[in-house]
Amino acid sequence: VDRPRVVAEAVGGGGRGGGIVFGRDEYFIAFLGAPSASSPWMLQFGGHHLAINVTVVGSDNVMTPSLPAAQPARYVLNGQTIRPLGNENDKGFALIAALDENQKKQAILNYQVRDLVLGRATTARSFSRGHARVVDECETAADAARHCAQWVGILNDEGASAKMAEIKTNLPRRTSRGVDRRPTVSSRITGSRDQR
Amino acid sequence: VIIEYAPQQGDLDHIHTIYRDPTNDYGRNLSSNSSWLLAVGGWLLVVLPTTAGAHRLDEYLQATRVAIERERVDVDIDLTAGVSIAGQVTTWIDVNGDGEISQAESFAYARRC
Repeated sequence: VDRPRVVAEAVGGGGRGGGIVFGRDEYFIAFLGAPSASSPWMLQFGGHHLAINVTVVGSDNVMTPSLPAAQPARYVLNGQTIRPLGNENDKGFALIAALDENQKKQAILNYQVRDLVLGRATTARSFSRGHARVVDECETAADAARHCAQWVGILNDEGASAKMAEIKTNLPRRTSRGVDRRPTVSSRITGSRDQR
Repeated sequence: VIIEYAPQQGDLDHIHTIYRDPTNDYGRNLSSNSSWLLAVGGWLLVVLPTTAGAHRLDEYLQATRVAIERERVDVDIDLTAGVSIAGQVTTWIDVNGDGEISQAESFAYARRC
């Protein structure tokens, strides 16, 4: 690829796309590079509260970094309650509920974090404090994997399966010599009024 | 892999999440084609400030678009108040405090801006 060829098309009513206000006109799809079976290329789907970046190289693809967000996070459409990030919320609280009391003491922080710690314009690779490693039981690991799958599952089935296999392999787990606590999977979950 | 789920505080349902693999952002481990990564990186520096941004709660966000044409210049200013300061901003506009923004009040605020 000599130079990324950017093709951007506004989705919706023909707006300019990529703005920071609400509305379907602000969302866009962009291809960086020419889609190819062998050469690298990238798909972006973005707008307010959404940035999906999928890099594709041959049969491999990754979706990092990506920012799924929502406002409102609950609304009624045609008589149905829609929760755009409902599964992510529910699986997170299921993970916390699966912890024993000692693990909860580690995991539940005594202060609130108002926004993303590792959001845009950050290059840190881990949380500087308040990061409790709590996954060391099989059942808890399964809950953690289900929590992660809500994000990883945005990818196509093939890509998501490969990433989930990697995540499950790297989850901290109990071994014959004790607890392997390699912190290769991190999730910070804060309280929400959406808690059930 | 790092996943953050950050429900924003306040009355509005407002959630930010981010999914990152800092060791493999933009597929850096998938491609040995350095020109691709450099070129994409340049594009992303331009795009990310808008695509990955979700407004903060305690900021009064201003976005100004300037369209320059042969005989005129159009300036559109979007102002979006974070939920933490929305009440304060409302008092700047609804100066008589009757809970409604009249046309005169909106024009007066626009002129001040």
